[in-house]
Amino acid sequence: MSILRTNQIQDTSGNSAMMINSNGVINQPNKPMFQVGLSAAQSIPNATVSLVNFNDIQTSSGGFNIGGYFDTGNYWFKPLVAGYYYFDAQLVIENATPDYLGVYIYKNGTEIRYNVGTESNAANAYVGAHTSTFTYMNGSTDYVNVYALHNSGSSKNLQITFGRTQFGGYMI
Amino acid sequence: MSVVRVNQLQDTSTNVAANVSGGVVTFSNRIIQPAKIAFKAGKTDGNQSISNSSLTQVTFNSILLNDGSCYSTGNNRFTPNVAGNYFLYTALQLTGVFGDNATYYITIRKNGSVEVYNENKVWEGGSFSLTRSASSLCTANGSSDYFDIAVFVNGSSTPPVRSGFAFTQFGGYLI
Repeated sequence: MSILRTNQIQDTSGNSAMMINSNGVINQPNKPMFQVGLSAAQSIPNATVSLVNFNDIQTSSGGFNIGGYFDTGNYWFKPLVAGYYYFDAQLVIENATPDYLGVYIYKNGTEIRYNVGTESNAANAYVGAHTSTFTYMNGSTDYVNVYALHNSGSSKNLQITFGRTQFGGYMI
Repeated sequence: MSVVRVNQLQDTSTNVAANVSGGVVTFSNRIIQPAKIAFKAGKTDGNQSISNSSLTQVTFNSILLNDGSCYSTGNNRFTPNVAGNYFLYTALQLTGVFGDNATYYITIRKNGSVEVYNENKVWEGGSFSLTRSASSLCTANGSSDYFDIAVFVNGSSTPPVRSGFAFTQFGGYLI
């Protein structure tokens, strides 16, 4: 056995990769991770699986984009570091009367996770739906994004409030 | 302070544990971090009554793990002492009689403000056991920032938060 004592590990270019504090806790300041939201309420058509346009990092509300792999133009996360990642998506639909609100996580255009929130025709309920998953990302072409589906009968908005409609993930 | 610059970490048998590039550590095998801050707490002290139409803090009296001792059963808060980004989650069950059109939601709060929120509504009241979950990536300053769980129910009846680790829990860890 050999023990290496240090409080920081850098790559060969001097970028900090791991900080080790006096209690032995490791922090990885450059681990790819993100949490993003909407810049404006997004209208989702009735009964149509629709891409959620996560276009705002919302740093002032607690959002972040470490590594810069979330693309607010394409609304997807496309990491350039291969590995397994965890993803978490949360939607709330505004002033709707749906039977359901579905939330999907897609990878490369294919559904990999789905969950649904329901509410049995109540008026003005803000139905929420939440889902999460793990998946492998190849570090080059793989990307993930989020889709929504509801059956309110007409177009309804996703709530803009960060924490109600948001998408996040990180390398495990 | 000491700094080690490497592009690969191996164990003493030369198995590759991690590669380091661009400041990002890519683990090739599992590295156990014994001091990683993590906690999981549950409710086992009986069903918790909550106030109607009032956001109420949920108490988690029982600790399954509390590495770093950052979760307190005294104030039911997770106050991490290392700055960074944390994954936090909660699941809780309300059990009992809901009124017609009752709205209920759960939140993970940061310093008393909603960090993430999940809501549902009961159209036709009755006796149910309904579970909601929420999770989020949360930034903590490692000193004063704290996180807790709150629940809201309105309507003509107010079902309590169900006791039991399998029904009501709160957890998280440093990413």
